Amino acid sequence: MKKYSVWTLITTLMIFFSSSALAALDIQITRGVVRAIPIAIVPFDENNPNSPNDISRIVANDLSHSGQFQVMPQSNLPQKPHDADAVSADLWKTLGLDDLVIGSSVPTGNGQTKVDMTLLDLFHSNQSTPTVLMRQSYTVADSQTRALAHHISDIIYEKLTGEKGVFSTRLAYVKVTPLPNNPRHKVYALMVSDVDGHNAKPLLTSTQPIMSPDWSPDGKQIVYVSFETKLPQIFTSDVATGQRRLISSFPGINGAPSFSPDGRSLAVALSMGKTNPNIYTIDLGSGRLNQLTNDASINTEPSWAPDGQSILFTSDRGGAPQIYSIDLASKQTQRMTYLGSYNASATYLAGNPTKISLLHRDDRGFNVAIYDLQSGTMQILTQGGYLESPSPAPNGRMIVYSTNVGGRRMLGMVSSNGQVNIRLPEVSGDAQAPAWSPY
Amino acid sequence: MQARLKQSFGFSFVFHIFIAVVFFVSLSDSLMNIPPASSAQEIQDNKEIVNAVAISENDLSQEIRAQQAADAAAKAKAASEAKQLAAAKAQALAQIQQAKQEQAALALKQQADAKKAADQLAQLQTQQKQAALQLAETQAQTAAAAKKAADAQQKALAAQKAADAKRAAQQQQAVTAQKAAATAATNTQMQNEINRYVGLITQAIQAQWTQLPGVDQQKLATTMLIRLAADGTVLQVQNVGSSGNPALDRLALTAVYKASPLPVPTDPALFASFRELKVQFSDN
Amino acid sequence: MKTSLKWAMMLLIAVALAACSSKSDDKNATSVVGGGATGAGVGTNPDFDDSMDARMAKILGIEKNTIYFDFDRDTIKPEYMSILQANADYLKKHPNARILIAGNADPRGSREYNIGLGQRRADVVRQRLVTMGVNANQMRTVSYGSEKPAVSGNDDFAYSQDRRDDITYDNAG
Repeated sequence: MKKYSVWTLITTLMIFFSSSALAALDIQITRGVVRAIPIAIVPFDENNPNSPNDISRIVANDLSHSGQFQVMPQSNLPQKPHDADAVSADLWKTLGLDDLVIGSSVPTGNGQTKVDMTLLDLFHSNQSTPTVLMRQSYTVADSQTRALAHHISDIIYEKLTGEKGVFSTRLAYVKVTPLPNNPRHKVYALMVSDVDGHNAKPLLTSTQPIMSPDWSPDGKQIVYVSFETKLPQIFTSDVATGQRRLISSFPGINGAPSFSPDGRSLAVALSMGKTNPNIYTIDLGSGRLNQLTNDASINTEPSWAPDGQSILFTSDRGGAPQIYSIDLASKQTQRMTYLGSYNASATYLAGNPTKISLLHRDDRGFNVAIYDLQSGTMQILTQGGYLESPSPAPNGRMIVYSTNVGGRRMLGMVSSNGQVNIRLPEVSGDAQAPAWSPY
Repeated sequence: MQARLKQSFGFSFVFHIFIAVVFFVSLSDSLMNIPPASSAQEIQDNKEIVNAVAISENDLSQEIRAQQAADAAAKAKAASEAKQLAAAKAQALAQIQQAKQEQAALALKQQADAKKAADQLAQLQTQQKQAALQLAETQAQTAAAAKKAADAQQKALAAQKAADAKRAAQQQQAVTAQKAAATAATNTQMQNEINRYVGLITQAIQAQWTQLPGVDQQKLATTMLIRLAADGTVLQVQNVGSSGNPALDRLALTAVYKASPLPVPTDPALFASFRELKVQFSDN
Repeated sequence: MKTSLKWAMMLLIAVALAACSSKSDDKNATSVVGGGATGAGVGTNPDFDDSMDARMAKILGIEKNTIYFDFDRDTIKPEYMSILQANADYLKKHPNARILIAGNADPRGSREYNIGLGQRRADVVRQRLVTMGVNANQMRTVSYGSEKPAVSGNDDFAYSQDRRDDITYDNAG
């Protein structure tokens, strides 16, 4: 009797559940863990493991600086395979890695280097052999290996995060070097470098200040302020040829030039012989001026919305500098920031129309922050206190800035989540006013 | 030997002349682009180039130092992560063991429940027997007290019989109800058990699902169909609903394989529901 | 077309230099790049010549033709009135003399916003000199914001040296 009833129950249950087993059980995963992708990059050239030009080292630096990757230190690598067949996925999996980059770089003797790169996914299947996600082969001039390394970083970044990498983009900045025999006087240079600070070359030098470089959307021109006549003027320079064009030389302040998203006009700050600057646009084709603001406060640092319909700017019309936005068609102005007594140097973050990067002051001084226009939250990304000129990368994932280190200005980069903050290699003198190029 | 040296010197001499010519041609090319207003700038340009060369050596040691520091930091981080990994593994193991123990406890409980139902049935039967005894007693009393009330007795007997039948039927119903209640109770317990494992699996995959810092995954909705072995090992993953972003799909796939083996019930009856899982990744 | 030619030339030079250095002839390599022009012209650049400023200060009977401002202010403190008076007297006596009033800010905060602050300081001095009877045509103003700090450093003393107007004579008249 007892046995009978128990078996009845089990049978009933089995029928009940076997029918439900036909439809797969639903599981909802609604949140993961915010973290960087763990990856290892095996040295491509073991004969030169410490060379700063070693491709794997450049790739490792690029990826870890992005904040999206946790790169295993080379000293922790359990083995250094060059061949995908020699890779045991299980060994690398136990180290907590998701992906592995292997490759080789071999000089071919005629001033060229042959580079092979393979990106392996350790968790693409339940097999103990890794899955090849990408395999590339290149032959480049030795002088181009750094550029190739940045390209490899870009394609790995895009494959694994789904977003375009910025490692082949460039920086423009102003380098200020005091004269050795008369440090009161300085030499100002408009520099263009790789995004890691290497390969820096002067586009223009002057005995008077150079300020506020900004890139054209096609990356071919840089607009900037030069005081070479002792008074401010706005010029564009062709990055490849150095050819210059005078854009604006009005009485008083000619400042803060910013290319429109279509590259056809500039927004600038002009004081027109008065004390306070106002925001204008200049049509680069016709030279036609269009005045946007008109009041007796400082109105400067115009920066276009991605759609080109409105312009952010800094104004102290409320007593202290804050960020405002003006609509080009209606000329209607809206105050954007209320948090804190000093907000300036605002730029929209690419790919996110509700977020702007800016310079924010609180009791820790001047730092780079991201302000969410929708939620009204201010996320302060740095702690240095002496920062200026934040300029976001074209993918919005990092922001380059200038900071004061021991009395000298250096460039730094912070990931837009604030998790990775690095300093670019030191240059002699001061490095200031950085501007991140477009793609 | 000397002739060869001379020859190579000669070659080098000619070569350098050539380089100088090339250099000055390219220099004059760039000089032309510098406006006349700043004649000092041309010279400064050259100075800058000297600096640029000197800098790169500086940078080199700088970078190496930075790299060393970064390596040390990363090493420490890796060590702590390894520790965390070990802790996580230990935790997972503990969870599996706990699950096993709970499974055993469940089996015991099921047995106990079945026994309880049987006991209750036996109790009912005892009650029935007692009722019958009472009936017999009443009959004896009736016979002794009034023989002449035979009709009434007949009637009473019939009524009693009817009552008996009714009572028996009621008792039968009670037994059935008891049985049903017992079944329902076990059903609920099993469903609870399934839910518990769904929770464990959700946790296990969530812990492995990497959300990239700052990457907006709100648009992401990836659905994976997963086949499991009896020990929870992920045998196969099929993407049945792509987010449209291969990189984000891959992160979901990685999460599933990294979470393998998943915590599953050892009871074959229960595991049957876990043979195939449909896992949807979405950021709300 | 022109660009690619230039690149080709640069590449050639780079290859040549690499060839040089591989022959351990580094000296030659750097001298080709430097061209021996380092530093030449720097001393003769009029922008780097302070002698005019020193001469004018002597003529005006002041130590330095600079006016300092308090934090976040563009009001002229009384102790600098004598400097303004000396300049006003000279400019009125020498109608052909021309000055440049350069306003500066301390290095904190936005560079372009600091240009605005420096311009306020320059214009306030210019306005004062006008009320003292100087012809406005004799004066130009400019703001260098925080681009020409007087001293390097980030403490209050350094900042107090940076917040200033420098008056320089383009033409002594």
